[in-house]
Amino acid sequence: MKVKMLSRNPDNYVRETKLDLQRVPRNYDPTLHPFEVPREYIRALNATKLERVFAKPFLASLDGHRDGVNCLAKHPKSLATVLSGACDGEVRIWNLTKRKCNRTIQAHEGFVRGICTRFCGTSFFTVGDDKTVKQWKMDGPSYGEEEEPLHTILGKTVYTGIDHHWKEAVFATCGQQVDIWDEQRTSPVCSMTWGFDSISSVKFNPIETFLLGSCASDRNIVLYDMRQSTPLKKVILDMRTNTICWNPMEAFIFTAANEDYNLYTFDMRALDTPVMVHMDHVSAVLDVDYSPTGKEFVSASFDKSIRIFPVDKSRSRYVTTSKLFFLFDVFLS
Amino acid sequence: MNVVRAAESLLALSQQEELEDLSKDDPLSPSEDEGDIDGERKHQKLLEAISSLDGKNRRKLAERSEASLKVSEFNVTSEGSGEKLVLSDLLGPVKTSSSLAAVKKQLNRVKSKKTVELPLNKEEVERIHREVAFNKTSQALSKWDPIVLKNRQAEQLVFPLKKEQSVFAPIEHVLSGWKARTPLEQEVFNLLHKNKQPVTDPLLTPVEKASLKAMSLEDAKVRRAELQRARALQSYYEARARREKKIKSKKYHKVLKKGKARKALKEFEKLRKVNPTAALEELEKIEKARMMERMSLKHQNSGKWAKSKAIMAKYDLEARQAMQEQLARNKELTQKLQVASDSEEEEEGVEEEGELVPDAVNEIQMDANGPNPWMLRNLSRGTKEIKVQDPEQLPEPVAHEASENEEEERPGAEEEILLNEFEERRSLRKKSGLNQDAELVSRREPKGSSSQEVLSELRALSQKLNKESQQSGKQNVSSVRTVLAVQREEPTEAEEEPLLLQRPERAHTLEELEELGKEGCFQNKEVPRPVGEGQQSERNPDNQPDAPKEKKRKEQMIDLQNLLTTKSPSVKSLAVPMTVEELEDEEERDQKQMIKEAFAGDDVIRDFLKEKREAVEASKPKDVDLTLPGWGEWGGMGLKPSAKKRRRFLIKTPEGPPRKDKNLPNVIINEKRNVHAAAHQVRVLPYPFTHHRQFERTIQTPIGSTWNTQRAFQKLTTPKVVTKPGHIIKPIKAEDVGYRSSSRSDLSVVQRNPKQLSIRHKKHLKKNSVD
Repeated sequence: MKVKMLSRNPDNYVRETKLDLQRVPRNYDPTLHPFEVPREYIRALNATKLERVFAKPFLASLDGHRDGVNCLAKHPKSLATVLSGACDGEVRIWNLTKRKCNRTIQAHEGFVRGICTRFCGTSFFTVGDDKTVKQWKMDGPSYGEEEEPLHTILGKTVYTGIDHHWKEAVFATCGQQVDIWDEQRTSPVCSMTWGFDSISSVKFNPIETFLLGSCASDRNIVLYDMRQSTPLKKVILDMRTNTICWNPMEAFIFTAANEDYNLYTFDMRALDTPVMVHMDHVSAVLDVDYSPTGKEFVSASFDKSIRIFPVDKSRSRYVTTSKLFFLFDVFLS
Repeated sequence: MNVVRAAESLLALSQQEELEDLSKDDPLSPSEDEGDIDGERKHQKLLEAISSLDGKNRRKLAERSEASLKVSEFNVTSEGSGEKLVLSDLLGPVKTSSSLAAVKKQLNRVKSKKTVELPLNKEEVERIHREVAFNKTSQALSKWDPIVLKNRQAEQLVFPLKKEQSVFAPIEHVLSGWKARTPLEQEVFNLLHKNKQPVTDPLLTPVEKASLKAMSLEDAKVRRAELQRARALQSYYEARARREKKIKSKKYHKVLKKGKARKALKEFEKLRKVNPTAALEELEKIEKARMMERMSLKHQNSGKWAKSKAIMAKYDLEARQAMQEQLARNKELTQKLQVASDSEEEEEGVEEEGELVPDAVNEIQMDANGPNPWMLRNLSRGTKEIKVQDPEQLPEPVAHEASENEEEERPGAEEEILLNEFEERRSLRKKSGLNQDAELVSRREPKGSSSQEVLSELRALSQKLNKESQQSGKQNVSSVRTVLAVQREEPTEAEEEPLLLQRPERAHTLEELEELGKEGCFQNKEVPRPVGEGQQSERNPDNQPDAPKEKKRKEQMIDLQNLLTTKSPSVKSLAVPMTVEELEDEEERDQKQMIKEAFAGDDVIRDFLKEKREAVEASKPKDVDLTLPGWGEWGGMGLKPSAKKRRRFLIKTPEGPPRKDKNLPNVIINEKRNVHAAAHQVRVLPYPFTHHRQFERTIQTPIGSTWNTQRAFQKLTTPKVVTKPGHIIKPIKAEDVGYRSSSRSDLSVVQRNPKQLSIRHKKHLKKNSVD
């Protein structure tokens, strides 16, 4: 006759350390847990609702500018630092964690048209309506020192945008033509044109760093090769493109923010048709920026809304609306 | 003034003319012609003078008036001819002179050469440049394709992609930044200082570090030397073995073998004294050798060599001896070892008896791999039993024995054992939640395998019972002996027994189940149904979908429509022993009672039937009645159109297809599209799925932690992208993914070929400055 004893092995219910989770014995028998699908549906619905209820997308506003903010830039080495250029020529450097302004510079007379940081994060460049390109140190001047730019380049025409190379001491400006500058020189290393309209923005490719993209007011997007110093290809859309942005994880993908309320994601090698058309905005899209993961991007529109699009979806996953924007955006982990 | 001067000159001219005229008239004058020419010239001059007189500015200087059409001897002129000067014209006169042949040749060559084409215009050149550059760049970019694809398809991406390697900091570096703060620390620090221990200085000097590394090298050297030695030894040994193998002398080999055997025996003896477990192992080896010998016919005079010897044996003593030797060897090898226990000795005796029919026995022994107590006992049973049973059923008696061994061994007790077994099985089934079905012995349910199993099992068991009782007489003796043997066995073995027993029994029952399941399938057909038709019923909803099938058969007794309302009597299977059934019934009754109490006054079935009736009514197409009271008749209050009229104007809608739940009494199938449900349905099949069933299946599987284990839940809900807060995600780099990025900097390339661009820029600047 076999006698079955109740045996309890402490290993089965006593945790080894205090940090371990308590073991909860559970019976996974499906008959004990019926209605999986309806229950899960309700759970998912509740979770989504709660997420909406408790979402606080707006964290803070950074007060200080006396005029509208025209451009923004993020710091490449510090997640908490953001730079902003205003319409009265003022540039401010902000600390996001403290939500305070670290530094204020009267950089230009008139608009600050473009602002970009150097890849090392030690200095930044601004272009303004006063036809100058100025390089500034990121750190403030020491006591008793005058607030002065490191370099000032006086140009012949107004520059409308600026972007810095991702690896080298080179930057590009745009205006009547795309100029590529060596930081040490006062004249551009080379300048590239295709057509005669004013170019509104220029962007370096973050992966294949010799590639540039620009968009002009004659409705086209032009790609340039810095090494061969020629334009590569031009695509003409129905309406003007305001900005383009390269995907930081996929070398040949870029997204263009267009006036026809849409965003177009292109494969650089096949410009005939866009890879994806992102629509949801109800007015001209003013700016676009990729998330560093390359999976999403955020766009700002004249309809006073910001939308977040997944790269492979044509509809946005998130939207916020506010009063008025002109936006360049920051989107970090 | 001018005019005056002109007049003067004119005057002078006229005077001169007069003079000349005078001379002309003179006979002394030269020839007439001369005079003529002279006159002409004069006339010309006069004309000139006159013409110069009237226009102030028209004073032309002397004009050469050579005849243009005439080619003079001294002059070449192309004027007026309207012809181009062609090379051939020049060559024409050269023909005759041979001295100019070289020049002629040269000229000919020049003539044959084509002119260089005009350079392309700037736009076109630029376009070509652009195209070439674009192709090159897009080719260069294509290297990213696999990486992009991989990242897109990745189940999970963890950013930053490049893991920052944790910097290995030597202890000294860590220490250098550390200072003693607490009193205890300071105390320790002081102590260390007193003993002159290095605290912040590097614990090891560079020389020491180097020496440490050198030590490792030495180790390596030692190891290498060892390996070399081992290899050398092996090769020596191999060489020796090869040499020895070549020796043909039989005597040598015999001596060698004997020596080896003696040595082995000695060693074994020694081992037995020193290490009994190792000795046992050795023994096992010998046992195995014995088994191998028994399996083979190697030394049983059945080989080619043996047969040839057998022919010779009559005449040749040596051959006979050789054969005998072989047989002796066989005997020696197959002999049981004396070390084994007494019981085994006994068995041996039995075995020897059984050697009359050695083949069957041998076969069984072959089946067993290693020393298996089962087989031994099985053998002791005698061969008859084995012959009775099919090879399939062979394991069965073993199982019985297992139970027999545990219980007291009596032939009468076997029934009890069987009952126990049955109970055990049923309890097992209860655990699997199939017990309810199992109770029903339903023949028409092809999928209800469990019920079939029960039936077949019962049958099999009864068969077994019979068999056992038949055999009991024979078995008795042997089984008793086995029991005794078991009792007499060493305690260690007895301890092992239950463990050993369990395994084969379990495996066996599984096998048995399968077998019996098969058996049951065809047995069912033959045997008349044990359960009456009236007793067939559906108690649980699982059985009900089978209702239509049932209807097809003529044997149906219960009205389908009343199926829900009829009472389901408990099923009685004849084969189930009464005691067990009673127990079951009691339990069920209790449960039923409880359910009844809980849902008293809650007539779900009637409600359902009512609901269904309503649904059927609602879904029926309605007839259209177009009769107008008072039309073609007298009008007024309370008039009803006649039945005839009504029939005439009644438009009967055609009968729709039969309802799908017509034959399903306990189901309502609503075929209308449910708007509320539609809100939760997808319109198109989502991308990766190719068939709606796949999609439905994935949707059906729950992902929550309620339905999955923690591990599975975590796996199912892993986020696609994982980022670490506070870490900067840099754009992907060629070096990160194993590509070689161009070493030349982009800028240097630009500076190297400033060419037309700088020029263009200069131009541009110039233009700007002009503007």
